[in-house]
Order: sequence, then structure tokens, then C-alpha cells
Amino acid sequence: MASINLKEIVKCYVKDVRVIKNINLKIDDGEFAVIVGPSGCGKSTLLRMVAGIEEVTEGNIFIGDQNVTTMAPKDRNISMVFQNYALYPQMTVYENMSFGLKMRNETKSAIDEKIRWAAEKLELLDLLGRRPKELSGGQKQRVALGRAIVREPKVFLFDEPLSNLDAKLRVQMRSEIKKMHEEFRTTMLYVTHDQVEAMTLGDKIIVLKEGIIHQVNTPLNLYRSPADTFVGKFIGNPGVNLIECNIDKNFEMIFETGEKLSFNSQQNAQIDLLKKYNNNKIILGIRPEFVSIALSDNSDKLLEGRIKLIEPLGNETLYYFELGSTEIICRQRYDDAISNTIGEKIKFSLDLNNVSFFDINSKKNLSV
Amino acid sequence: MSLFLQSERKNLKVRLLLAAIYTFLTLGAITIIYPFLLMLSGSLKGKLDAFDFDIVPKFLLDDERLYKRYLEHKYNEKIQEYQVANNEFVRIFKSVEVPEYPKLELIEDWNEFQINSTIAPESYHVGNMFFLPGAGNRITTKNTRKFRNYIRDLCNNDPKYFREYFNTTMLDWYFLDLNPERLLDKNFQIPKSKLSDEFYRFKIQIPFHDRVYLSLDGEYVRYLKSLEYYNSDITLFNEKNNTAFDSFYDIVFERSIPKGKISRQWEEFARAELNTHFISLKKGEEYLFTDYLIQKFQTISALNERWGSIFTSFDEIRLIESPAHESYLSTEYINFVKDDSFCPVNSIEIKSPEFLWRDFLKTKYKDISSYNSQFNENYTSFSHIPMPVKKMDYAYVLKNKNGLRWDYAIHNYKMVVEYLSLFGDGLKNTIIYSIFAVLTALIVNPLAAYALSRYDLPNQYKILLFFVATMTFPPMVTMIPNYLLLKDIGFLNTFFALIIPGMANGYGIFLLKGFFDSLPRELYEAADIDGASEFHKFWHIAISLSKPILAVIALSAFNGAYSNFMFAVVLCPDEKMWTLMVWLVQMQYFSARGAVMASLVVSAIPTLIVFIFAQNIILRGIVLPVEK
Repeated sequence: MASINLKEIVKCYVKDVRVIKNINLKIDDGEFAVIVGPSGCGKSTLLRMVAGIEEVTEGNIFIGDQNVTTMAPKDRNISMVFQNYALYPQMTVYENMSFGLKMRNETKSAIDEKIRWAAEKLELLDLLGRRPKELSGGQKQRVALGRAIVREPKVFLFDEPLSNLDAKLRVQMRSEIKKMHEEFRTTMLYVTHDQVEAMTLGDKIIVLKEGIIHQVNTPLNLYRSPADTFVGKFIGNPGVNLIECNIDKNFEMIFETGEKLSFNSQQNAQIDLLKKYNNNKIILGIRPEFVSIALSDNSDKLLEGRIKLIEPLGNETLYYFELGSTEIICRQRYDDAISNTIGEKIKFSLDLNNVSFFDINSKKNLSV
Repeated sequence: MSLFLQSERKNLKVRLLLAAIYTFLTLGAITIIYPFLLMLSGSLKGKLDAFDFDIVPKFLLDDERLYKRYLEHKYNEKIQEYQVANNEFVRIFKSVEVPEYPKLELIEDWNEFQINSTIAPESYHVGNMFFLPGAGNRITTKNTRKFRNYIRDLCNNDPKYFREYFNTTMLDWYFLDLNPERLLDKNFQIPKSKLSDEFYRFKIQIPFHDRVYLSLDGEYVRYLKSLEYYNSDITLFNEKNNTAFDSFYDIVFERSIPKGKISRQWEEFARAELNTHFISLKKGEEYLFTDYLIQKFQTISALNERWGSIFTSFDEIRLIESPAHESYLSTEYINFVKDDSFCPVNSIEIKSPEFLWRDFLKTKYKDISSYNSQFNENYTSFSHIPMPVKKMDYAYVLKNKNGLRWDYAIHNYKMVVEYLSLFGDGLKNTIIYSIFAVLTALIVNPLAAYALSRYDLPNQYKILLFFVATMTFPPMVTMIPNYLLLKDIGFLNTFFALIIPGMANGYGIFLLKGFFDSLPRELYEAADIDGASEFHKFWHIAISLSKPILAVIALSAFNGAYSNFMFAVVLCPDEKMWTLMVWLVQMQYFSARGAVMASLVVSAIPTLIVFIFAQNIILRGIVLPVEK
């Protein structure tokens, strides 16, 4: 078992065009780290560099205390699970799992023992004689996991391993991977574009965009205080509502429509943050669950918007409002469901205890 | 993906279109298959039906056609020989009329006659044995093969002994070419040679049904009809000879000079046209020849000096049989017969198998009327009964039809197989060449393609372009440079010359590179992580997933090697290095049409077998290595 340490990693495919821009990252021993980001952000490249199947342009990679930057993949003591499983089509499940061990010249009995052990864990015992094309997607993925496990690596690398599975299977496999981690406590580096996977699996989430790390934190911290508007939008489904507003000298927020909201006396922390932004524009970020539709019209802290779209999800309903040109999403519990229809105007409130403020230029969270 | 939606298919327009498409495809299939079937059926045919465009040769189904084919083989493809032997006029074997089936007694009589009579080997030709047919017509027939085997056994299967014993430059007995027997020709004498002697020893062993009995009646009629002053007109003949024949074919050639006007014609034919071995002197008049010799040589020592013999007196020279073999005696006998002052026409008696047959019948039936009643005929005398050769042939064919059909079906193939096994080196060379061509193609091309696919070589595009460019030149363009290069290296007449130029194939490399490129990169990466060496990746991933393409490449390499004629003969002109194709092309120059077809079929068989094995892999489809 080992930690992973990336120091000033740069990757250029074409000269001077940096895909990965100076990344420093430490993943502790036994940690489950998830790299998440939109497609093309360089997350797979980063993982492949750790695996050693992609060259590092600048910087160093350490696994444990060892600098593995120029080592061959097989010497790094890692295992990797690929998105398309990359099982050897002409080999049986058994042969697929044993191939790496054979290459390491392990004895037949040792190989057999390890494979039986892994196959039992992954419920593959009945499938050992089959070829990959006779397996379902989930079974293939399990074989791929098995192939990774039998190598007993210090680090597991996952490259979007669940993307090719259907939604139900994905949830099931997700928990299996999680269980695997609980059991082995091996360092795992997991790449995905799916923030739900990231949130559910990771001890630590690394949000990556255009080759730059935007935030590294635990899932909940990431959710509660996104480092910038990108993270806020990216994490959570739907993401944070971003509403531009002006701060007047009384620290009231003036929205596009001219409506105003002010803080109450207990919300000094927020006012402190906004001190510098007197008479300036900021971005207000609020999660949909903290937006609520006003059932009674008795408060002055209400905003009015037109309903654009209603998405009932069963346990909850999503309402899309228009506040001027800004779209605001509201997540209402099912029992709070209201019988408004599209096009109607409706009053809603924002829970100002649970908002973030972002700089209009740098898009950074003022409190982080 | 279908051309039409399921729902459209009930539309009349679509139905018509579909019908048109199927018709077109069917026609296309026929145009491909029909020539192939013609080749197959052609390989079973002989000269008789070579130009019949039927898919199933008629002789396989039709007894009549089988009989005609039998006649063609028996009479050595010579219609004249048939005409004379059967005293019948037909232009081609195809138009021979089928006789009625002979009575069982006749068959018995004929067999008895053949067994008990002493029929001189000079009085029949060997059937089923073609002699020296012109180029482009050669076919090995049953008795030719038997004779070759006879000679082979005689020489203990030793070509060297054969060449020495027969004092010949022929490579071995396969090339034996005898001049055709012309025992009816007036000037023909059986040559004096070891080979001819062996041939006569062989000839007396052949089965009765292979004998082509020489009919003097037939020859006489042929002669009469060829005479200008009769103009093939029987009335003119009757007028001139004061006879009353209905047709020339009623004329029989009498044993001794007939009475009447016709005697002149008889004598002319006997003395001037007939080969003297048919002519003997009547019993008790043999002294006439001795007189002739005394008259000519005066003393026995003069004769001995001329003949190189050691006779003590003329009496020792006995004319037991009329000589047919070339000798001093026969030369003198020929001169003697021509000279009517020494050999009076009344002393001449004709020997021929017909007379033996008539004598046999006469002894058996005594009276012509009993013969007539037995066989339901109405001959006026025994001397008019012809030999029942035609009927016997027919009876033989009907009795042995299955055997004959089989014989004729494999007739051409036998020749091809014999030819190829005789030149066994050809087969051996082809096998070696093909194996190495396939092996090298399967080693060199994938390695090159793998390197191009896996490594970003500098100028990779140009390298690939260079490979592909080789596809744009016809191979003939590079033939002479290739030849000169290989000659300089000293590879001519070795397998290197055949194999090395074909090792790398631009098309194969191009094809394989494309296929290797299409394999998922992750497989290689997974192998990298598993710690597989480059060779393992090449073998376990690239090669084992490209079997269909490799099968295509192996097949084309095999085909290229197997069907290579031009390069094979240019680069390896030495006969010892000739491949099967070179030998087969060689054979096609001199062989009959059927044998050519058979050689084509034989040459197609290995390719077919290889295809059948490889198609399993090819048609199994390119299994995409990773499915979702």
C-alpha cells in the first residue's frame, strides 16, 4: 500500500500546448480519491500518467517513496480497470485473470489459488471457462476487477469503469467497488465524469477542468462550499443556482428585476464577506433545496418569478423559475408539492443561511 | 441491412424489382458456375464429345454414346481404321450405327475361334493404343500405359538400363513413342529393333477385345472405291467387271484368284496393294520362291554374302510364314510376289483372319444352311460371312458398361496423375514453395504491419506509401529486374529465388496495419500493465485477434505460390526446380483437350481444399475484440 504524490505534473501532446497544467496532488495511503471533471479536462490523461501508459512531460510521480516517473507500468505495482474492460477477447476469464501473473512467472499453483480467491469474491467461479464475448457487461466488469485484484497492487486505478453499464448495474457495481475498498483499504484513484459516482465513492474528490485542479476536498465539503462557480455547478444535480446581484450600501441584494433581499441580524458572517463589495456586483450561489416556494404571502423576503418548467421526480419536484433572465431551480419535497402550473407567477424565498458568494470576475467563493 | 423495408415488400413495384434482382443474381451465378462445370465435364470427355457443351457427359447416361466412345478408343481415334475393320463407311465415330445385340451362340463361337485359332499377331492392330498423335492431341490410353509398364518391368524400373538396352535418348519409358502399326500398307515392314520385338511380345498378351482385326474385305473395298475409274460408283464397277453387286460393301476379297473378269482386279490388288505378309504360296508350291532365289543369287555363297547368313544350300531357306518383319528374306519375298514370271497368280493364296473365321465356321457348321438357320441369316456361302467385330464390340460394351464408364471418366485424370507423379519433383517443389511462401508471408507481413501500427516511426506515412506503391505495379514490370538481381546474387534455380521476392507484400502489410490499428488501444495498455513483453503483445493480442486477416493473407500467399507459373519458370528454368504449374502448362502443350481440362481440375483441387479450410476462419467474420 502506498500514497500517490504528483509533483508539478505537466503534459503536452503537442509542443507547448499543455493539457495538464502544473498539477500538484497528494493522495494518502488507503484513500479512495476520485478525479471528476467534464470530458476533455485531462482526468484520464492524469490517471494514465500514474499508470505509466502515458509519458509525463514535466514533473514527477511518486508511488509510496518511489519515484516512478520513468518506470514501466508493470514495475509500478498498480492495477488498472478500463472503461471498455480491455479483456483479452481470445482468452477465457481464467486466462485473462492469470495473464499478468504468468508474465510475472508465478507458479501455477499460486496463480490458481489467487484466481480462485478473487473469483469467489467477485462471484466469477462459474464463469472461469467462458470467453469475454459470452459475458454480460456487468460480468465483464467484474472480470476486469478480478484481473486487477489478483495482482495485489499497491494502487488501483479506475478509468471510468462504470460508464458502459446501464444505470441499475452501475449503482450495483458502484457499491461493490466501494465494498472492495472497504475490504482492501488499498489506495484507489478513480476517474469519472459522473459527479454522483464521485460523491458516493470518494474519500476525496479532485475536481479537474482544463488541466487545472479546481478543488480537492471531501464530498460533503465540496458540496457545501464549492471553491468556485464551476465546482458549484458541476457538483450536485442540479447544480448551484447562480444569481447575479448588486450589493447596496445597506448590504441589501438588488436583483435584476429590482427586487431586494436583506440579511437579518443573525447573518453577520455573510455581511462580513460582502463588505468589500459595497455597490458592486457579486454572484449569489444557492442550492436548489434552499430555494422554497412561499406557501403564504406574508413575508417581505420573497421574490417573484414565472414558472418555466416543472419536473416531478416522485420524491421531489423540480421547479424552474425565471427571475429576470436568470433561471432558478427549486427543489421541493413531494409533500410540499403545490398545484401551480407553467406560466404562473409564483413567490419564493431563499434560505440565506445556506448561500455562497462568488466574485464576479474570478468566480471564486468568497468564503473559501 | 436489407435493401427494402419489410413493409415495402408487398408493393408490386418492389416485388418486380426483387424478382429482377434475383434473376440477375441467378444469371450471374450461372455465368460463374457454368464454365466451371464445363471444365469438370470436359475433363471426363474424349475426342468424340470434346466439343459437346453438356454438363453431364452423354456417355455416362447413354449406352449408345458409350459404345461410340468405346469404338473411338478401340480404333485409336482413327475412323479409317474402323472403316476398314468393319467394312463400313462412316465419316465420324459419332455417326456409327449401333448394331443389334448378337446371339449368345455367336459370342461363344467368336470366343472359341479366337482361343483355338492361331491368329498371327501381324493380322491385327493393337486397339486402345494411340501412336504418335499430333501435338495437342496426346492422351495416354489403356494399352499405351500397359506397354509402358511392360517396358518398365522389363527394365526393372531403371531408366538408365532402359536407355542403354534400347539405345535411346528418351528420358524413360514414359516418352515411348512407337510409330503406328500400318500392317495393311503395302510397303510396311515391322521394323527390326529391340523395341519392336518387345512390342510384339507385348502384343500377343493383349486381351482379345483389344485386337483390331484387319479385314482384307474392308481394305479391298477401300481400294476399289479409291480407284478413279470406278468413281465410287458400283454400277461402273459392275459394268467393267461383269458383276452384279448392290454395293461395294458386298464385294468380298477371295482367298485365291476368282474366276471371271474380276480376277484382273483381284490380282492387281493382291500384287500391288496388299502387304505381302498376307500373301502365301499354295501348299506344295513353296519351291517357287526357292527358284526365285536361285535365279537371283545363283550360288548359296552369294546369298550368304549378301544376307550375312550361313546357309549351306537353298533348300534350307524355308518359307514357313510369309515374312512380316524387316529382313533380307522379306525384301526378296516382296520382289518375288511382284514378279509374275516367278510367282504365278494361281499359286497365290491369301491369309487373313477372315478366312480363318470362315474356316472355323465351316468346320463347325459344315453347311451354310445350318449356319443360316442358326443365326437367321441368308449367306450364299461361308466365304461371304464377315467377322462379327462390330457386334462383338457392342456386346462387350454392354457387358462392361459400368467398368468402361469408370475407365473413361478417370481416363484423363489418370494421365494427369501419371504425368505429375512421374515428375514427382514438381509436386515436391510446389509443396515446399507453398509452405515457405505461406510461412514467410505470415511472419514478415504481420511484423512489418505491427511495427507500423504500434510505433510512431518517423516518416511512417511515407513508408506505408512505399509499401502500397508496390501494389500499383503489375508484377511483370519487376520481373526482369528481379531476375537480374537474383541472378547476380546467385539464387536462380533455388527456392530462395521463388520465396524471397514474395516474402513481403504491400497489400498484406496495408491490410494488417489497418486491422492492427483498429484493435482497441486499451488491450495493449492492459498488457503493458500486466507486464507483457513486446512479443507477447504481438502474439497474444495482434496476431491472435487477426486470424481472419491472416487467413486471407495465407490464402493469397498460397494461391500466389501455387499458381505461379511465369516467375517460377523464369527464375527456375532448371527442370529439377519446376513447380507443378510449370509441369502442367508444359503438359497442356501436347495433351488432348480432355486431359487439359483434367489438369485444370487437378490443379484447382489444392486451392479448393485450402480455401475450404481457410473460409471457416474468414467467414467466421472479424470478431471485434471488445464488445460493449
